[in-house]
Amino acid sequence: MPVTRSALLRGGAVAIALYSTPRIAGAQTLERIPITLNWKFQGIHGAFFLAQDRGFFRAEGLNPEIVAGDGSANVVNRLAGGAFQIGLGDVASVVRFNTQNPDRRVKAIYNQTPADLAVITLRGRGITRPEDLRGRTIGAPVGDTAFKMFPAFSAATGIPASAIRWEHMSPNIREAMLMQGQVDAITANEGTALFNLKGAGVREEDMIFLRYSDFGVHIFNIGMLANESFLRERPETVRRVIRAVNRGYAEAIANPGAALDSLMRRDPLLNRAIEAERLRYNAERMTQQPDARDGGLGFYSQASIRNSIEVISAAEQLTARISVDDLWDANFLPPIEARRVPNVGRV
Amino acid sequence: MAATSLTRRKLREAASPVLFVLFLLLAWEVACQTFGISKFVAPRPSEIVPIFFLRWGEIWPHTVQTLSTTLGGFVIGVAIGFALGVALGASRGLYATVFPTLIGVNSVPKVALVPLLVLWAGMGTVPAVATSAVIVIFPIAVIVSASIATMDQELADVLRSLGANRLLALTKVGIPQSMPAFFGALKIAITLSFIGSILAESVAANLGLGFMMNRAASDFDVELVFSGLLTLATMGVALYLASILAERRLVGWADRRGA
Repeated sequence: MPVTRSALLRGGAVAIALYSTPRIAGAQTLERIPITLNWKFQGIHGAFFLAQDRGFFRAEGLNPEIVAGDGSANVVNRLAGGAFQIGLGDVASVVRFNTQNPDRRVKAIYNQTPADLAVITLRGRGITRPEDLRGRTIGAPVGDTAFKMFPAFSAATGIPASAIRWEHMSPNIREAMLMQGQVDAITANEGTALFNLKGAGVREEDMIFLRYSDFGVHIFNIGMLANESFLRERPETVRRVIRAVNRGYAEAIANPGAALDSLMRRDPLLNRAIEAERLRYNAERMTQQPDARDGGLGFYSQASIRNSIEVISAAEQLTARISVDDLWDANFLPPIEARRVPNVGRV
Repeated sequence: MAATSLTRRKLREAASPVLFVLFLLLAWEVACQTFGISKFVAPRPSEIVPIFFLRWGEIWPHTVQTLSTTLGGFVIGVAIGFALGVALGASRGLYATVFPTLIGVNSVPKVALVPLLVLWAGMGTVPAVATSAVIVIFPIAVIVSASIATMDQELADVLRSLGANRLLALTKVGIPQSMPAFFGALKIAITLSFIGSILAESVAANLGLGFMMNRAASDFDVELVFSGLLTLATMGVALYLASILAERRLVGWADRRGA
């Protein structure tokens, strides 16, 4: 049979019809919702993709479009700009934002993990305690939460920020600069730096972590955020998103292997072994935090929010203090039975 | 009478771009007001402009840093690009040997190159100057070499019959003939040069407009981000004008618009 242009066109039309039929059918019933993540696809994000693959979103009548992020603190910008209404981001950065923009607040509605802020160095650099940081060079991305919260670390340890030489760089080269010796230490979230360094071949026993939490600095970190206006206008949609996301987290914690499968399907270039460790690390932090033990997955206690607001506002030299209700809205959490803390499963 | 109308025309020509910018700013302001655009998408000019007066002390050191790294890189890049362009344009063999590599190197996205430069050369001024230079070399070299390689065959024959050797033909005809094209390339290069230094500053630096805008963005300080952008645009225009001035002085003979 000769291949004519009309035959090609007809064939193409049939192919398009076949391909798009189920989508059109789906689009009529499912509500499209863009969701931004905090960073490029990794570890714990498997929870979102597992929720997608297992049909948790579909069961809620949702068709989510899950998009990689470019920094947890930037999620607030994405929400404020209006490109997204809901997403996973840095709750700490919301404190400044809501203090300065009371008319367009962003709210935390689901707690993932508390902050694991740290100053991180390598064995052999002569730094084992905060006092050793005096006169040394620390590499810190300007938007990094551990850098922004350094005043809290200073207050707790007595090492002023002015005693340190700061070098600023983008987060993607921070660990490389530490390994190469251009800086003596870095500020980072422990989970981020730990696995980045491991991935680059550094042994865990050669890393030294000066954890903020060891000096009594505890703040919240990653959680689901949404525009206050969106919560007001479409509360049911938000409830359905959070129900699906919560099921995803519970399932990913209990069954990390499946979450990894879903993650790897989205980005086959990821290193599965490292992502498995990342997922386990965050699953443990998520389930072992006191708030989760007290109130189930996704829960923030009033006390932990109040403390975080105080610590962050002081460190960022904010003059006003927002209230707990300016930041956290508990009305979107699924009932406690759906948020029981599962045991962390084996990969 | 004729003289006054001439000055008036000149005045109008000088004023029209300024008026156009003012018009754009006004349209921007009106659009933001009428469509109720959030300042996190685009702050209004009336919110940005006061920042220059209120926070000039904060912006100034970053501006000086960016301007000096850009100019440094620009001068180095143009010198290397020009020398390379002359060499490639003059020698067919060299052209065939080196040009594919040059294209290959230029195809590497500068975003990917900057982190490497930082790891090799450290942070701050050096990678900013280097990136701004690297980004400029290619367009200058390509345009200068093409212009020299396409020197008039007849002119070359005449020169040879008069007893000129290749070097003399190159310096007396080839290079001067490439000047108009070279200045054209210069205008492209100066804007590219800013892209290079800003890129490097946003990857690893403690000073410079790239760093300032990064830090401002992380503090949700949108007005400062936009004032950085406007500063950059202004510097770009200023340097563009400077290269036009230099062009008029040096190769005014090539302009056929009769200005």
